[in-house]
Order: sequence, then C-alpha cells, then structure tokens
Amino acid sequence: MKLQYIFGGFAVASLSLSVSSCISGNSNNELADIPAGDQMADTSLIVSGEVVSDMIQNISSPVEMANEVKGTGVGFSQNLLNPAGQENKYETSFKKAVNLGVYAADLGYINTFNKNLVVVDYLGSIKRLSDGIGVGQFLDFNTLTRLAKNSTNLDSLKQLSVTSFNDIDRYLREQNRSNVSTAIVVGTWVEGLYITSSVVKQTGDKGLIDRLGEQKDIVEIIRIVVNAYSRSDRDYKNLSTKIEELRKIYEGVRVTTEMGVPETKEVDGMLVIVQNEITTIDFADDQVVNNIIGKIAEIRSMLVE
Amino acid sequence: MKRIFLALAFVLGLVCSSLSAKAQCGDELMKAALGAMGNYQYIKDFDIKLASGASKEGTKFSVVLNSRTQYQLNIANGSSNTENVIVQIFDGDKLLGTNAANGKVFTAFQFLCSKTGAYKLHVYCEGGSEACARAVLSLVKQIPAN
Repeated sequence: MKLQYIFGGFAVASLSLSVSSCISGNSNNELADIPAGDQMADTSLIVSGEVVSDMIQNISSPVEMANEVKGTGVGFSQNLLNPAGQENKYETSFKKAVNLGVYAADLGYINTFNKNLVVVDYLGSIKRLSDGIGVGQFLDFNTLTRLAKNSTNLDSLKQLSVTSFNDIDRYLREQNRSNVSTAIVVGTWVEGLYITSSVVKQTGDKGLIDRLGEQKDIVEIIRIVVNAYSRSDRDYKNLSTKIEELRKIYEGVRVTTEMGVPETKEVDGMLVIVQNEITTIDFADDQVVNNIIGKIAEIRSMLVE
Repeated sequence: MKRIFLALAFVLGLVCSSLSAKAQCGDELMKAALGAMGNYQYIKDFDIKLASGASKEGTKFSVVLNSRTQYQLNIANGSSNTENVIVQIFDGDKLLGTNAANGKVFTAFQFLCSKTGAYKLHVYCEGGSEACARAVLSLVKQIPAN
C-alpha cells in the first residue's frame, strides 16, 4: 500500500517552537553596523547551541555537492566560483564568515576536480578570512599548501580541508558563536546550490533538479535560524528577506515519500542498512525550477558582492 | 621528605593518567577511524564521550543525509572501553538500523539513504559504562537518478 505524506509539516512546526523558546536576548530592534573582527558574538541574539546544532549542522557538504556535479559529466568551470582574492572587501564578521563558507564550497568543488593549482589561491583567501573571524588556527595553511602543490597527496588535501572546516564549526559552537558558524554553513549551502543550479541550467540534469527540489525542508530550517539572528544584525536581516522569498518559491515544490520497511543485511562482512523508501519530487510547473535558480543566483550575488 | 615524594608521585600519576586518557581518546582514535574509512571520501566526524552510568541515554548527533546516497560510518573505540559503543540511526522517531546486529557489535556499517533530511545518530553503551570513540562518516557512492 502506498502511503504518501508531505514531508516536513510537523517537524518544521516543532522546530519553529523550539527555536522561539530557545532564543533570548536583545529586544532592541535597532540595527547597528556589525563591526569587523570578533564583535559579532557580542551583538547577536543568543540561540541555544544545541538547537542550532540540531538544525543546521552539516546541512551542506561540499564533497557531496561537488561529486554530484562531477557525476553529470560536466567539466570543471572556474567561472562558476567566487574569484579568489575578494576577501579584502568583506568588512563585517557576517560577510567574512559567509564568504568563508562560500570559499569552502568552492574549495570542495576544486578539490573534487583535482585542480590543485587553483587550490593555492583559494587557500590564501580562506586563511585570511578565517584569521579575520579568529579561527585561523584551525587551518594548517602550510600543510594544505604543500599538499596542494604535491599532486600525489590530493586525497590528504581533500580530507584535511574538510576536517579543518569541521574543527572550525565545532570550535565556534563551543564558544557560543553559533551565529558565526551559521553564516559559514549558509555560505557553503548557497554556493553549493549556486554551482548546482548553474550546472542544471547547462544540462537540465534530472538528478540535480531533484536535488534542488529536495532542499525545500532545508530552506525552511535555514529560514528559521536566519530569521532569529536577523533581529539584531543587518546582514542577517537582508539575508532573511531573500530566504523568505526563496521559501515562497519552494511552495511550488512537493516532496512525497513512499514509506518502506528498513532492512539490515550483511554483505561481504559489511553491515548494510537500507532505508527502502522512495522520494518523489514534483514541481508545480517548469517555471518553479527557473525561479529557484534565479533566486539562488540573486542571494549568492548579495553574499559575495 | 617522604610526604614530598608521595605528593610528587601522586601528581605524576595524575599527569600520566591524563596523558594516557588523551592517547586513548584523542587524535589516535581519529587516525584509526580515518584509516578504517579506506578510500571513501570523508564528510564528517563525531567525537563521542559517554559518561559512566549514562546507560542507554547515551548521546545524540544530528546529520543531514541525501537521498540516492550510500554512506559508511566507521567507529574507532577507545582502547580503555570495556565495551564497544552502539550506534543507532533514526529518521525522526523511526529506528532505521543499528551496528548491533546478528549477535555482535560491528565497528562499521553502511547506510543506503533514500530520503534527504535530518537524521539522528544515537550512541550508547549497552552496559552504561564510560567510553570514548570517534566515528567518521564517509561517502561511498551516489546513485544516479532514474
């Protein structure tokens, strides 16, 4: 028997409640300029680290996005990326953090295509931005650069790149700087979607179009978190407006799941758990995909400008 | 004089014990988990620390997983653990599977995900003993859309 349900309703509703009940802080609605450096933690709302972790941790894996794009057979295109060397124009902590995330996604894309010569420039930008928000100690710039210059160590480069960003994320959450961590995650997520949607425009790849559609619930989670921070931060406020516009476009996407019974089996000594569900993505019409692609490009442009 | 020696020995013992615990639960565990991961692509790691008496409450992590994707979780147990940690994977309240299967506790399992969303990893020790472990999530393969 086919049991269909629209994924998300109860989960998102309870998420909303848990966020609003876990937020405390400034009732002053004045939007002040956020100074550069580490001041962001002092001026933002305090959201329970655990709640934010639950909602936004690992929302966007640059490794998975880049592999999916590479799997379509489309070649590497540096034009899709935020050019290295832009870091000097990012003055607020939000801008530094969000573009650190953007560069993290770019780095994942570059690494996946083994373009190690391009990596070095991006590592420089990443190092300067991470220093700017006080997390530069987690990036072993010299080792990363050495690995990038040695084409036999590319797997180590990929691994160290991702572990470094995970360490940054963990540290920021431990330091109650989840607003900075969230900006990095959102930057990575937006850039990943931007690269994905650019390849969709080129290829019309069905798998990537479904990936865009599947982001419906993730958009809702991001909307809730970004909206919480937007009350005391102008950059977050601007982003919140755009994410709300994106969420409205996603009303034209329906995600349905045909439930199944999970099974566990042993295959050649490896335990394998199979979920056995079927997810279907339906778009109200073709224009919905185009509107999603257009809005993502708009948000990305706002973040990297 | 004897008291000074005893005090020094006590402090030395504490330092050694602390360093030993770090070796059992620190970077070496991460290296072990990464080594067991093999050639798959690293995505994320989970630093697991279970207090004594935590029983099945254990600890929880959230992770977003994608449909049409096969993942692997490798778990490196601390050398002083008296039992291996058990990991359960949940979609909301629905238990999808666990590494405790077929009468043993596996130190790795793969998960073939068919729905993009936030999943919970529940980690605990059956006997509620104190334990540390490191789990590494990696990408095995992405299955093309039909």
